Amino acid sequence: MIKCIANLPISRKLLLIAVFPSVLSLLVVSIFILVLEISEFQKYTQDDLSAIATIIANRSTAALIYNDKKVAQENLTAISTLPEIQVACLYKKDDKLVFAEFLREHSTWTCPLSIEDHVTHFTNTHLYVVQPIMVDTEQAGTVYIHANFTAAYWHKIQFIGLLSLVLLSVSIVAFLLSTPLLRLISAPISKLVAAAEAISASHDYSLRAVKSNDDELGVLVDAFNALITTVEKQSLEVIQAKNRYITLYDDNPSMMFSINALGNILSVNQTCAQQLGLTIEELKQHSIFDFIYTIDIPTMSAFLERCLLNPMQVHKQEFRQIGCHGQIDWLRVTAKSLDHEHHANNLLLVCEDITEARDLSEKIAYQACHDTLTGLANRSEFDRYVKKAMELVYADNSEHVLCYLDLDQFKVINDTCGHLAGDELLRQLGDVLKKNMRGQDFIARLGGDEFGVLMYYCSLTEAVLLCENLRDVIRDFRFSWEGKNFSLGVSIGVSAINKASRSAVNLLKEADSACYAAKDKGRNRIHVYSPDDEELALRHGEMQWVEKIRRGIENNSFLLYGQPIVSISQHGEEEGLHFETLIRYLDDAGRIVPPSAFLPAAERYGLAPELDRWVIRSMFEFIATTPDFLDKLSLCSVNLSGLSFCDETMLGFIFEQFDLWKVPTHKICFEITETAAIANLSSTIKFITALRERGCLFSLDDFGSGLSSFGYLKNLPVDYLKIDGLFVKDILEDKVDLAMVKSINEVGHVMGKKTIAEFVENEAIFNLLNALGVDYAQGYGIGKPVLLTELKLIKPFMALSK
Amino acid sequence: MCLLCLPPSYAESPPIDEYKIKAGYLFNFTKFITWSEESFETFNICIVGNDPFGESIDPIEQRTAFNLPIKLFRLTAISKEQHCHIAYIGTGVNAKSTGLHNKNMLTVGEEAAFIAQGGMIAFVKRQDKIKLQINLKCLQKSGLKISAKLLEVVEIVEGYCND
Repeated sequence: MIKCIANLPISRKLLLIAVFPSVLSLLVVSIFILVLEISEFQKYTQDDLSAIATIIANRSTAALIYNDKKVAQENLTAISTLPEIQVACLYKKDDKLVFAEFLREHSTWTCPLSIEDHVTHFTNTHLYVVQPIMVDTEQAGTVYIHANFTAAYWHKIQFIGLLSLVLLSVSIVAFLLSTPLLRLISAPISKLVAAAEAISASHDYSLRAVKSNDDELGVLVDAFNALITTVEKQSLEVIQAKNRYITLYDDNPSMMFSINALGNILSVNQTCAQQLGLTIEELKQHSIFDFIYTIDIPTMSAFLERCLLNPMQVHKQEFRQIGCHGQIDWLRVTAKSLDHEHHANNLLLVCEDITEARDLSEKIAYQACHDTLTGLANRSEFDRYVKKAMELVYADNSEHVLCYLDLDQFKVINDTCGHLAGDELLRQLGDVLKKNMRGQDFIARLGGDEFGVLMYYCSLTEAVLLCENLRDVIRDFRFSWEGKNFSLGVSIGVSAINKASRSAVNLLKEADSACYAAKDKGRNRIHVYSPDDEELALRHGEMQWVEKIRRGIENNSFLLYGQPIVSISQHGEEEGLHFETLIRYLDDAGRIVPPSAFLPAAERYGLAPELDRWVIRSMFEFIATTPDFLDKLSLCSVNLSGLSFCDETMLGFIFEQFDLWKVPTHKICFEITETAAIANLSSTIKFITALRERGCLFSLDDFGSGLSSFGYLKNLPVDYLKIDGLFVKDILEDKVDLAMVKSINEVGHVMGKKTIAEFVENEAIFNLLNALGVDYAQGYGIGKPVLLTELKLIKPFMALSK
Repeated sequence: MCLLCLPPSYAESPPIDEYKIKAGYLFNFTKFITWSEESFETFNICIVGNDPFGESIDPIEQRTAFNLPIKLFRLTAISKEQHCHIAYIGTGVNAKSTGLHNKNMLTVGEEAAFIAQGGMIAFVKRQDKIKLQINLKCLQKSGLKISAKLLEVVEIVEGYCND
């Protein structure tokens, strides 16, 4: 029952609360009144009738004593006016004899024969009154009255009924009046409930409950609305966050897959669908393997297996994928196991299109090991192949041959017809060589007019035959350029690759030596390496310098020279010592050897950085240890080889020397050649920037000779431009040279750089340079290179100009 | 005692009992008639002249009236020496000559003639029932008070009274 009531709607409950007490009280009051009324009625009627009986008894005493029935009868008849009284009897004292009686007409009631044991009592609506008649202490008789109060009861009940009716109507009226009050409570709750239901049904959090009053329900509605506002805000934020994440996912430029352990696609992003040319739904029918290039499918299987075996790690792998146009794209797939939500076997794949990067890196890799001019492999690639060939020797006990080819007449063609012709010749010759060698053999351009050929599984005898064939082919080859025909010759050095070979470097040296020997014997011939060849090469070639330079560095066989540089514009004014440091070799016989003899060898055999170190160390030491030199010094230029820029330890060494000798950085200027700088532009710029940050200066040497674009100048943060002496020395006669010097000077100035002219041999040139506005001059006319100790401040052409 | 216990209706039986009933009446008068207060030691009932009761009335002396013991006196005539609360005047006594109108004395006699002679209450026999006739004026004159209850059951008659 209570549960039934508890589940009723609030309006019903309120109704019940209003109705239940009133009905209950009505009922209780009605019953109470009924009971009270009846008991009161009984009491009063009993009292009344008892009183009447007493009166009758009193009045009838004499009649009883004197036996006067008539009077007794009269006395009884007197109460006939009371309609309820049915019977009134007067008994003599033994109660067994009716002395007088009153019987109502048409009444069925009569006096009982005996009223012994009778007492006054009610039976239902009938009242029986028994009143003894006392005379003194004796009982003279008894009055018996029987009254029927049925009618009176009915009357009472009717009255109470009427009363109840009135109360009921009042209750109903009161209830009707209270209904609007109940509605004040139930209606706002209903509205609130309706609003809550509407919100939960539609998920439209912009809806609000309507506030009716300012009572607690109003507060509840406000609180509810505030809550919904919070929910709305949060749901909006959640939606926005969700949209952001969807955007992150769908619009991510990478393709994203989630797949199961079998590779079946569970979901993909929009990018994926676009890339693969299918809809997302269609993609879900596919496996990831459907889009992987056939060759990569086993790799993919292994990759997935690896991912599933190590779910905690992120795995990366590159695959080829078949795109929507049938093209093959390279993808870098990053995979992560989705171990949350117990989908331990699912994987998230993020695929980046790395086709371009891959192409580029392939191109770079190709370029790294190929010669751009001829398309053949380059020297470093050739070195690798030689190493591999040596490994092969030990692997299968085989024998191979290394050939070193050097063209004989190339320099002639290059000098007479120019570089373009030389380049064209090399290209054509590369093709010719390639066509005329065995398919399994490997050819590379080793530099300049040198080629290397690696002949696999080949004896020396066979190799010689093959080389003779090559020589004949080249001899028969005619190169035509601008109507002229040229014939060529080739010298070939041959070296066997077998277990006796020491190292790849050594092999190349051997072949080189053999080639040198071939040339030495009179060109256009083949020479198989013998240990004697090496000595020959050492004696005659650059090779001899390698050891000399090494030893020279150890034994300080080099000398430092300085050639002064003077200011043209501030001519005659007081100036510090400004010079370019130059190096000389002092041979065993005490002769001074110029750098042109050993620098190419140093460059070629990678000794240039060592030489640069020696120069820097010696120069700094000289500056630091020579008294008063530093005070006189304005600027000291030091040449740096292109190889030094690529030496990662060089910068550290230079800084170390600065610190060691306490040489002020602003008094040192490093000279680099234009060609060296351009060859390694980015590392050169880094190198220059690092030193310039410390205060060092830079000058670009031989500017103009490389015939390179002025554009490079913009990128090179140098302080001085040294105009190549080739332009300067003929400046008086050659208008082109004059124009060149003039324009280089102007461009240099516009770029905020100072210019230095080399090869200033006489006063006329000096004056012309002065007129052109060139800042500094250097050359034999100014001062020849001298030992550092002999350096002096020079004021050239002073006497003459004055 | 037995005499008094008998209901009046028993008086209808043999004539010998008639005086028993009348003796009961004499006793019952004490319940409905009030005498003026005078100090007496006994409640005196006098039978004047002829005594029709004989011994049958004697038990009355065992009873009391107004808390006084009842005493019977048999007199030949009413005298001033002997006060009677109730004086039964027997037949053969001239009521007039006996001085019925003493103060504070109820006179009871037989037949209607007694009233005519100036008596106060007379036993009258009708249809074998003994009825009472009362000369109310005379009774009130002598200073007695009669209960209305008694008046309901008696016949009030006009009679001679000694003015």
